[in-house]
Amino acid sequence: MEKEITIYFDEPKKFEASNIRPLNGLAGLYFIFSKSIDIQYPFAKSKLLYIGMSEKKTNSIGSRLLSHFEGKSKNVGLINYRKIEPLYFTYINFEILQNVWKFRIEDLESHFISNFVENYGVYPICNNKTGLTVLDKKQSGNLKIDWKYFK
Amino acid sequence: MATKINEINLKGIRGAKDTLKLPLNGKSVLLYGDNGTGKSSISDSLEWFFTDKVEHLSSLEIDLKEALRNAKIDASETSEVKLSFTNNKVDATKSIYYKKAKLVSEFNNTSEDFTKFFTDTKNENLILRFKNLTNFVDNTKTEKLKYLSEIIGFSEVSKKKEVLQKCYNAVKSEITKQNFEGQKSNLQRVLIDKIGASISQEQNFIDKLNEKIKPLNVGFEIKTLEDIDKVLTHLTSPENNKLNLELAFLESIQNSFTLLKSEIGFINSEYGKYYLEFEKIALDVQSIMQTFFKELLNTGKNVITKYHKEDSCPLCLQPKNIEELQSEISKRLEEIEESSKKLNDFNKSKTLVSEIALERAKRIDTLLLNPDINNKENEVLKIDIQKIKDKIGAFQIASTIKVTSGEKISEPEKINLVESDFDFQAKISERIIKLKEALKNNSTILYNEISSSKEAFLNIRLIEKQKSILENQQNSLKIIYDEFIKKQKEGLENFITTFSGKINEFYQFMNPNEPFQEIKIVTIGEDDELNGLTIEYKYEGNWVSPPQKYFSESHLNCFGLSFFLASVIAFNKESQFVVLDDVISSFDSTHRKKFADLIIEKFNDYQFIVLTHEREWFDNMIKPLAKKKGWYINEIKWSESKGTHFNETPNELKDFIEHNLSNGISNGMGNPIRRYMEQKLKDIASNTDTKVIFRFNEINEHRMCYELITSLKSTIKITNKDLLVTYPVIDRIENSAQIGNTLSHDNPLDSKIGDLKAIWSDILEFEKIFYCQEANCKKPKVSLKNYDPVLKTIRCGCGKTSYNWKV
Repeated sequence: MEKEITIYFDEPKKFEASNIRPLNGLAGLYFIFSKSIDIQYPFAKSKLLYIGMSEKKTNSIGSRLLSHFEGKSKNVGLINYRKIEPLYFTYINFEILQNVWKFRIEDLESHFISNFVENYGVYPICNNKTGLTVLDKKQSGNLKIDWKYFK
Repeated sequence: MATKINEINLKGIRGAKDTLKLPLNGKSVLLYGDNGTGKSSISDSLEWFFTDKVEHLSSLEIDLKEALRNAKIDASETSEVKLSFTNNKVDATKSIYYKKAKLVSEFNNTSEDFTKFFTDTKNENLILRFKNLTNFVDNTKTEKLKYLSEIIGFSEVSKKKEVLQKCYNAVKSEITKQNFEGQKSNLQRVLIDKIGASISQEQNFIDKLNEKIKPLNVGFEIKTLEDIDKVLTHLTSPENNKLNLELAFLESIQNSFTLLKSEIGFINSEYGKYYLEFEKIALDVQSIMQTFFKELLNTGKNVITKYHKEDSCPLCLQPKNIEELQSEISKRLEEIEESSKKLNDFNKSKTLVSEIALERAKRIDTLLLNPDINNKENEVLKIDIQKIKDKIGAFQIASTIKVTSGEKISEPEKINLVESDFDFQAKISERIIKLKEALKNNSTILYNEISSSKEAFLNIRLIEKQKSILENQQNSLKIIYDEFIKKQKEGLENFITTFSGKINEFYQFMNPNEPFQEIKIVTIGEDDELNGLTIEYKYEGNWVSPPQKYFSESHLNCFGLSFFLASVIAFNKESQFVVLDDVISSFDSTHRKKFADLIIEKFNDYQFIVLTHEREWFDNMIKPLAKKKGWYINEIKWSESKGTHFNETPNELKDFIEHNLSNGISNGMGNPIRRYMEQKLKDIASNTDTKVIFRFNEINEHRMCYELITSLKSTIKITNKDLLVTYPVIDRIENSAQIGNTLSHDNPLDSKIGDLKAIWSDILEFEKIFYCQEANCKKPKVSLKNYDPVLKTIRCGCGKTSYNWKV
């Protein structure tokens, strides 16, 4: 059986330009969540609003987050949640998984989203619900995600 | 307090061989003088007095002090510029004299008041000459910015901005160089490998370790990071210690090179950028070399703008059109600025490559310092590590090559790190697997996992701390810098808008109904970069820059004048006097007339000393206006015996008397003095409602001084007799009034010069009682028209001269 890898998240950062700017040049996943609003998902509550992905360093986590921050991504949900209260974010640099994740970054995103669906019953509230390819579970490796982080 | 000039007194200075005295009493003066009469003696003297230099005399070949002294005066005599002001605390004389065969100069006033006045006035706009009219227009955009920046203190602000920018860039470069994310990812990979989790938070780490040690039943739980050592002690067995240390050693090497391998792209990319910058500069070394000439060219420009007026190059003396030369130098200076920018970009990329290489070399050195590297089994490994270090060294060497040396730096493909450089890691992996195999089935493997993950976790925390410190610094500096720039731009733009408004106002006044509209100074530069200033205007609805494009010479001069006058308003705080030395020489007649109107209408509060050699302008345009405003008007002459001097027959009676008395002429002076006194007494009598005995008209016109002063005294005795005690000069005037007897009309009193001077001095003192001496007083006559019925005082218009007066 393949070794199980637990993904814990870094300390939350305020969703502000000064925290986003240093993430230019990084590829990976990012997670935007609320400060205190618990979203009632079918199976459990979570503060997670959105899982996003930057597939390459030229369209980095920094630039993707900045596009959400400035409202250019047109994600109405994120825009409106931000009007209600300050948001936070965290991220995973794809490089840390290079020895254990043999698939594409897009597949990693699919894995995180489907794992969220598995645990919470639906996509994160601000994620678009189309175009997601769910990987075969065997293929996806054995990643355990610390969703408690968003409780 | 804004200061005006009461009197200018030159002795042995420039054209003035003897004394050249210009009494002003804070009023403006218009002086006409043909070319060569020494008009500029006045402007030169003032320039020297306030700035210790005279621009058109500043040349290596000219000794300024010698040039300032009149050529015909004796070496034992002292030359001096004596100025008295409306604030008499700053009255001063600046002298030039020989001391031990050397010309020296000094001020006689060393008071704090004078020192402050002198310092504050030094950089004010006091004198404008024709040849300086287009100085600002002719400057490059950078020089324009520099010029205004220095006056308004903006250059100091810019220096501070540069310091802030340097600090910000240094922190930014440090963050890039450290590659914190790369280091952190590498350590996260270690954690994934050792304990199967990517972790950066302490509680997650402790939970994961407790999960790991649970099957061992060690009898306690890890609660803090310190507790991890207890677990490690528990797991230590001496027999496995050596293998364990070797494993730790190999893994640390493996991790370091895995990190370095992950940085191949980053390092190669930064080197690639540096290589391109190097090539760019190397192909154009000439332009970089040009940057070394910047100072020389600026000096050259200064020389030909100010001193060298012939059509030749001032260095090689070859024939050359001076205007062409000036424009070529300006063009070269603009090109040099471009080159300086290129050089700056190049230096940035060079420094970054050097620092990146140095940082990686340090990491490798740390590995090589471990004594285990010298063990026999590590001989080959040491060689492999050294090879990588040498490759890193090649980057360092490339970053030390001078671009101007003609040497080339290695092409990226020859020097770049490649994945195969790290093939030796496979051998390390094999050794690690073997060691782990040997340690299998005992607790040592767990020991290794826990100790390695602890080290990785602590390093992640350390990296995050360092990263956070630098990022916070970067953010703070960015906030400070952005705010600074915002305020800086706002401040400058506010100033420029107001300043431009004035320039445009004056320009439009002199050029009404012309197609050049909305003349203004504008900043050049994007975002936070402020590269210079330029001048723009609307011409037939379109914005045009620079002004030379459509402006005639006369328009350019009008702009120069407008700029100077706007500067006077904006920058002159201490002085309220301005010298205009022959500034309208190349103006056409329309502009000349409008210029005269401008200074008379818009600068009523300023004291002007206007010098001109343009007879028509003097006689027909400005003189009539100046006369109405009460300016002094005179002509400057020059003769072999007297040098520069004023016209012997001044237009005004008072000037005539003063002139003659100062020249020791007593013959025939009684009558003019009597006439002057009579005029004044009649005026005072009228203002104070002084009654004299009735006479028929023809006799009334010939009232004598004596009866006027006695009647005035009678009035004073009734209204305020204390005045006679306070001002004994009134009695003295009564005694002097004898010169005003009937005989004196046709038989002027033949008094000695000393007596006449004493009488004249009394008249002037007496006059001061009834005429306010405040320069700004618009109605100086002490008159019943200004009677205050509440306080029962008679006073002048401004109220500064006031006496109790019972009516």
